[in-house]
Amino acid sequence: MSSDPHSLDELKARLDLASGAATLLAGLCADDGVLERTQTILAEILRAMPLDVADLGICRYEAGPAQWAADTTRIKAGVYLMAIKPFSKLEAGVFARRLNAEREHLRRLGGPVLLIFSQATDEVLRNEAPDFHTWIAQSYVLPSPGELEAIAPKLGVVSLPKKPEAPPEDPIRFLHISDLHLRPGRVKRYDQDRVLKGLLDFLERDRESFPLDLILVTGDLAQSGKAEEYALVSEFLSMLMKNSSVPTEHVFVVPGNHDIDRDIGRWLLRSLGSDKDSIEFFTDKQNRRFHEQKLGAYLASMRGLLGEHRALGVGVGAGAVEMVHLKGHALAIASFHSAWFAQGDDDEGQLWLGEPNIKEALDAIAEKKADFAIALMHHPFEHLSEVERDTVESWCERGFDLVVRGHLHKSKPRSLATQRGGFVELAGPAGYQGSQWGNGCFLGEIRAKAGSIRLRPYKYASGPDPWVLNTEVFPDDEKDNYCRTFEVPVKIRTKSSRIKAGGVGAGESGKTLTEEEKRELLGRAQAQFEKAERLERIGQWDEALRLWKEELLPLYERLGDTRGRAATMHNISLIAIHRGQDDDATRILREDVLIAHERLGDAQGRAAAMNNIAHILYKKGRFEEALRILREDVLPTLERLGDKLTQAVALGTIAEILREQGKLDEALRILQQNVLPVLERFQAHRWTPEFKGDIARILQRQHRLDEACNLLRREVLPILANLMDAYLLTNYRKLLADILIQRGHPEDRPEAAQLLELALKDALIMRIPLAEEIRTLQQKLASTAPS
Amino acid sequence: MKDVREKFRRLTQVFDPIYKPEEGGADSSYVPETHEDYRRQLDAALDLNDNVKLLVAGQPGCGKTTLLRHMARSLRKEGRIVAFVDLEAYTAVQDLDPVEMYIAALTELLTELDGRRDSISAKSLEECCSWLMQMLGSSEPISEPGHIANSLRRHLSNLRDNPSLRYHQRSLVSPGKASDPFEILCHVLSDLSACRPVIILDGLDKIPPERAQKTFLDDKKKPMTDAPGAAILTIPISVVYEPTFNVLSERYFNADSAVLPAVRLWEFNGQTRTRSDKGFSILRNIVARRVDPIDPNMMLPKTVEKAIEGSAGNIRELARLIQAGAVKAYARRKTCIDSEDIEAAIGDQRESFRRAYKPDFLPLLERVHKEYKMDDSTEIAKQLLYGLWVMEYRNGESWYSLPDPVEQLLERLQRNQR
Repeated sequence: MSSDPHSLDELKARLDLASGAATLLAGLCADDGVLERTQTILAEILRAMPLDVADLGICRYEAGPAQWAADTTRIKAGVYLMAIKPFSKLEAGVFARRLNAEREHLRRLGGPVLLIFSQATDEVLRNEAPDFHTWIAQSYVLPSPGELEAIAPKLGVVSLPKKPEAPPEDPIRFLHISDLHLRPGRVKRYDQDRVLKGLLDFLERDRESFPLDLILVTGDLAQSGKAEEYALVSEFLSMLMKNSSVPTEHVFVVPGNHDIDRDIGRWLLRSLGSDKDSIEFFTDKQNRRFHEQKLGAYLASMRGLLGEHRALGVGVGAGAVEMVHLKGHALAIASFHSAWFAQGDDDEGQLWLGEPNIKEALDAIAEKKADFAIALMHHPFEHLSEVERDTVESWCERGFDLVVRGHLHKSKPRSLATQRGGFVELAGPAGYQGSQWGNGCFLGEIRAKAGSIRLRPYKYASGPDPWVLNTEVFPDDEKDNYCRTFEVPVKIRTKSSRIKAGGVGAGESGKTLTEEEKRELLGRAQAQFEKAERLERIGQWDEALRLWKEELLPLYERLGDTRGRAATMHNISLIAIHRGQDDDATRILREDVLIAHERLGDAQGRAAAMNNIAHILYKKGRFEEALRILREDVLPTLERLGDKLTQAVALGTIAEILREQGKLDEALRILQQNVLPVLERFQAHRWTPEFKGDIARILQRQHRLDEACNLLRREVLPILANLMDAYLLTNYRKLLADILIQRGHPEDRPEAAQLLELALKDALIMRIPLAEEIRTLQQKLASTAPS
Repeated sequence: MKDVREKFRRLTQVFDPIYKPEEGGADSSYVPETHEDYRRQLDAALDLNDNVKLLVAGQPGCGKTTLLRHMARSLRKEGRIVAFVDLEAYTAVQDLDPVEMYIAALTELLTELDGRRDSISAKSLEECCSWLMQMLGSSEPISEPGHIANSLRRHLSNLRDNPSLRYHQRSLVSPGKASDPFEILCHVLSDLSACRPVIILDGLDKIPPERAQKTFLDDKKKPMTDAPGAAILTIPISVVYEPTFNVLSERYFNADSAVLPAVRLWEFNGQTRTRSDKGFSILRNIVARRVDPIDPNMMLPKTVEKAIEGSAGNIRELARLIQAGAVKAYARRKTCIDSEDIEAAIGDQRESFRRAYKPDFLPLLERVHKEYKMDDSTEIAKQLLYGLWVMEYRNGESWYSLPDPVEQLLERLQRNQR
């Protein structure tokens, strides 16, 4: 894009004339990446003119002309600079429409405002805010930051502010080795020694320039889990620590499939079948004791070398996490044992890390306020049982910054950024697999503050200095000496939601309580909260409400736990909604829940509350308003937060509204294309039956009665019964009965009658208005009885 | 004599696209002839039927708000009660619900009544008051229309700033019941029938297209149609281009089109266009009203002529060109704006259009260039009309023309193609 060389002269003339007058100007940049630098240099150029410049920074998403008018009245200046950063597509639309609607406020600007934005943003504004766009007096195509820097001295700028540079961060340096497969009595003992001795020598030479802080070893230290092999392992690791001066507590080891003694494991459980098994296995130490015996030699040796109470992979949950404080950072290192169920060549798909194991480890990491978290494991995620594979990986994306593993004997470092956060995954090569094969290791530098990891790959090559830089791992990074720096995806570590409801946020005002009392109260609150949710699910609403109102609210009050209170009020409002007490529900949501979330800055909680407000509105027939809240408030917020799962749920609500409006095809399309696939992907089994039930409702409307019946019978009701979700079960039992009656097959009658009876029983316990409808259906069924 | 900088300073101010002429003041720059025919129709309709409901739409910058503000003034002079409701100031227009629209209308109407409280019945006042008490939970009864208006205004500004409060307020209203502000508005309006009240709802054209379509084209109940008294509503031009607009327009009483066209610079006989001296003279007048108080010599007649041609009759575009011309003249240390500066400003606009140009605009632009015609219901056509790529005129029937910067761009595009 070319810019007019005179444009700056003209801009200068214009601003000179406009000082103090309300006028809106645009400065266009080639792309969004240069916005801030352009803004900084331009401010200096304008100051040198000289103009009294107020740099208002970046326009907030919530602000618009009204806010600009207020700001420019409050801050006195000759000209105001403001950048508009790109938003996500949904947000950009909302933002642009607000600009359009508030354009009248431009007349109240305190002086000329020069908006700086990219060509891409310009196009969005033209399309979404056409009137606003005609109110811009003139758009100037700005020179690039480079050009601006070059002309700035000619325009009288004495010195440009340098990009503020923080002092270089002293990185935490680590060595990652994996898959040593050490064994005695081999002819190749000489070869093994040559490779590993070479590594020790190399590390010793490198010590000056690369003093190690951590050593990470990810499994297969031995060949078959036998004591005589660990004598070699132990010997090698002691030498390694001596040569690198890394203390034992900074050495982290997890076992691999070659560290288990298969002779012991032969008669043990081969794998787990379900999440339920996984919970039992990973939460009760007794259930793991036989599998732990397979690691006897490994544990004896490593405990002797590194300390009795180390995690070493056999620690589970909080027990897997060890904290290291280095160079002002709190590092959490979680050692996981991916080979609990390793036994043979058919391990792939049979292995379990255990969702409770990972989740509790992450909670511990969040609690300890670690500013960098590393997970060690031997196997790649792909080798885990498919029942837990995606869930476990997604939990890791939420909490870990670096995942270090081995097993495949292949260097495969990569960075994975996802909607939940993500991590850098470092898959290491084999430390030793015979000198004719590739042997290698990684040296790494962690910059926790900058959020980056720089990796230096090494390999074994024959020669006088056998360990050399491996140029094949990052062949394109010649400039950086074949090293590569990975960005660590940003994430917010919080404790998992169930615990959050009772836990986080506590202590905000509960200062008079001692730590012990607080812990005790928190424990009680958490137990009661879980109990109330269980009661709510099985339909014991009166009892759940009593617990919430009489037990939990006072508890949270004492603890000063706003979050806990908001979660409780939210649950109370849900029951009010289900019971048709819409006004109560609206009041609670508006006065209690929304305000609490807004105060806590909890956008997710707020979005959930707005979603429920939309629900109430649509039940009252205010479809368009409900849709607008969902489309313009809830969805953009969730999009911004990257919360795909709740987005899917909100889209489900939209589909419900469309269905009620008779737009059946559109509703069906949303459910099938946008909602269910996401729920599947996130394994959100708890939500799927609800939306499949919605599909059944649509099918009913389309008179596809057989399909609707099959769906409810096969994919909805059995799962709800398993989940013991009384409210949904009642609704869908009634729906199936309704469809059966409508279909009119005489043989369906007993089933319909039974469904209605079950539904009525629960509806009466829950005291929901549905009971009336069920009774009406029962009468209808009776009146059509064959004579 | 003021110094040159000061003169240019004032020129750039009065020709800024966001400049709003002072109402009524001595330096009023309003030119009554601007939309003479159109205004005559509105005046006649208001005069003949006290319950007339009218729509006004138009391309951005064609002068809708200016026209309505002046109509309000002259209607007040006739002794009629006029509530000019600036919805942008009162409500969150991007999320406007009829509930807030009617509260705003009621507020403005009650404000107008201050000092004429006899004209409203005690019953209606009582209704207003109890509505307020119900919504705000206040217990103090208020009886002065002015005080009620103040309370309503405060309530509106809370609603404007707080979305959850808005949703709550809407959920409290049941249509047709005592909780519905429209009902109260109707009662007050019928009390006032002797004063021939007129409600002017300005800013409805700013509601987002999707919502506009719902408000005007989907709902069974159209805004204001069932209220007593007269009303004028500005509507988004996108609504006019919808195929179902005909059905809507039956509910309102515009004798001719609702579209306030650009000032006509040409007469058109279906084939060719000829220069309209009247159109030029109106725009010359508009320019003179703003330039003369500063210094009539700042722009030579030839320069003004050039700017008018370049604007194609859109007043905001005309202002933009003159303002840019003034900046250029000042930057080149001249003492007045000449044609060269306007040429340069037109060139800038051409480049600005070029940045936004998309190849699928070409067939439509070429057709307008050749035949002065366009199918105005396609998405691209709407985009072109909204973005002022194409000007819409009406004499007899509607026809279209390209403003100079777009003509220039088209010419260059065609040249490059060859």
